Amino acid sequence: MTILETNKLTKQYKRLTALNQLDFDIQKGMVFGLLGPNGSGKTTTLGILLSVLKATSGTFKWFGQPPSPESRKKIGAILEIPCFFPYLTAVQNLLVISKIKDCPPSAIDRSLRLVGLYERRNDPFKTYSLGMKQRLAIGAALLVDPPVLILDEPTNGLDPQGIVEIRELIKDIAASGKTIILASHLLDEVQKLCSHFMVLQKGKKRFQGSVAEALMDHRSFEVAADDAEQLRNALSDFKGVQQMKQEDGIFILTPEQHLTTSDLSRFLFDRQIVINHLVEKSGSLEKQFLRILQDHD
Amino acid sequence: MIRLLTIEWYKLRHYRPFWVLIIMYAALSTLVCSSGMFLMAYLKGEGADFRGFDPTMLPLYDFPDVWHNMTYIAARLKIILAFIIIMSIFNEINHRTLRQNIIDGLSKKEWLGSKVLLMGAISLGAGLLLFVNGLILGLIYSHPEAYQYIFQRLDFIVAYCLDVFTYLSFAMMLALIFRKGGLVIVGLLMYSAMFEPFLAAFLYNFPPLPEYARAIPDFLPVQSLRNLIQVPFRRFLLMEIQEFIPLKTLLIALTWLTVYLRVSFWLLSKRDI
Repeated sequence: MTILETNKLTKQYKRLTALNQLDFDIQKGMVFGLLGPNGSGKTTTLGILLSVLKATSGTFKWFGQPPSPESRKKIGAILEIPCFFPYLTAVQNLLVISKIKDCPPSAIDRSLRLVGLYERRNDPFKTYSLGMKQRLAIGAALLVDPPVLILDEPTNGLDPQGIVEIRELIKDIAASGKTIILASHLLDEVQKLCSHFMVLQKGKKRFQGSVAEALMDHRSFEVAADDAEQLRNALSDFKGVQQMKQEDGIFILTPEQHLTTSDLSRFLFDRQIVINHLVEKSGSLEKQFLRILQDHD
Repeated sequence: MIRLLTIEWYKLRHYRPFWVLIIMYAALSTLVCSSGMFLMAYLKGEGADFRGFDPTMLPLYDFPDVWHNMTYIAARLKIILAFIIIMSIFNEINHRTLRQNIIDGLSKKEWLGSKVLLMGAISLGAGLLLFVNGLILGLIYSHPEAYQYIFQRLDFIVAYCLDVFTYLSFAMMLALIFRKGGLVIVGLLMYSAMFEPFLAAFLYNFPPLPEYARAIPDFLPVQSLRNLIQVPFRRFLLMEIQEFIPLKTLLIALTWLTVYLRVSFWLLSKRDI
């Protein structure tokens, strides 16, 4: 089921084109990473999708419908920073939101327990640490148990422990089958959390695809044997190697997607080559990302 | 409607400055309205004499004139109530809760609606306070034979509510235009208390101006509201005064009200928030 689709979204500020003819779609259950350098249009995209920014041109649909307050009630979202009344407590702030979203006040306690703020629920928002503010924002987004969650740089400004906490929370939420849209400039974060991703650069879509496939594209096998010469000869006959290089006596192969290390091991075994090292190294989004950005520079 | 008013109530009920301003207004309004007789006694003590009248004999609180006299005086204090609206709007912009409210599923119209309802509640509350105060003061000071007129001329209370409501809408529009709490508060104060009154006085009285220029002040935002409830005290000098709400000023005030609300909505829907 298509949760979101956009059609040529464009946002023009005076001289700057923040978003240029953006088309993409998100399917149910995806954890969708919106990736791009700072200022690439991630927050602008989310702002338009949440109706706080007006697109200069283009349209989008949530749940197959034109955007409306009703569709936004089914989306839990944080844009940039947690926004609450500083003088109200967590409970009082969520009470306002529960009234906006037409959900029963009983949801408030459940949400606060989920993000671990129940003990501090009666303290004013302004007394919270950044991590707690961020958690409250996620708690607010989860208030109505929405099918879609939008998080904009959710770990920005947090300490390492806070980052781990938020990531664990997102993983748990993703495991419950919700669709999540996660904007981030942290490649590692998207790689760890997302099933799919899109790369934005200067307001344009540079790439959209699955994280697993992107990682497959960039994995490598490392293999070494006592007799390097013999190994090299054998490897040159091995089918499905896109690229091979040698570093300190270790051969690094870039295999095609269908190949596994077992295939390679069996092949060398048949050739009666004894190896002393065989490792599969998974790729990283970083390489992929940098390549995508470079291609368009 | 109840939902929108509840949202506003949840936002403000634990906000101390809101209560400080409400109490300040209520106390000041009660104090100013009830001190008429003491003021007259003071004036008498200072030797004042209104063309042979003893000031303390002035029937300030006789029914039904009490409604006119009190609404006129209390209308000077409405800027305190305007501060509440400016603060409320400024808080929402500053803490980005306006933005978050829209994200959470409130439409811009509903958001504005909740502010309009807040202003309505404040205006009605201020009117009710004035009614209760007037009733009590009238019962204390009015001549008993005037009791039969207690509920006459209550249209002044209605006009007072409209006056406050329109002025608050003016303040809201300014807050949405300029988005800076302090600037709007100072600006509104300067404009209402100094700029427009001087401009009006100039236009009314500067001899070389053509006749039509003297009509302009009646159409200005603050003066048009002042005209709703005109100076009542000349009656004590046995002068002719306007003892009713003139239809023309009512229409001008309602036109301004429409402009303020429309511009506010237009700003919200047009702008990125």
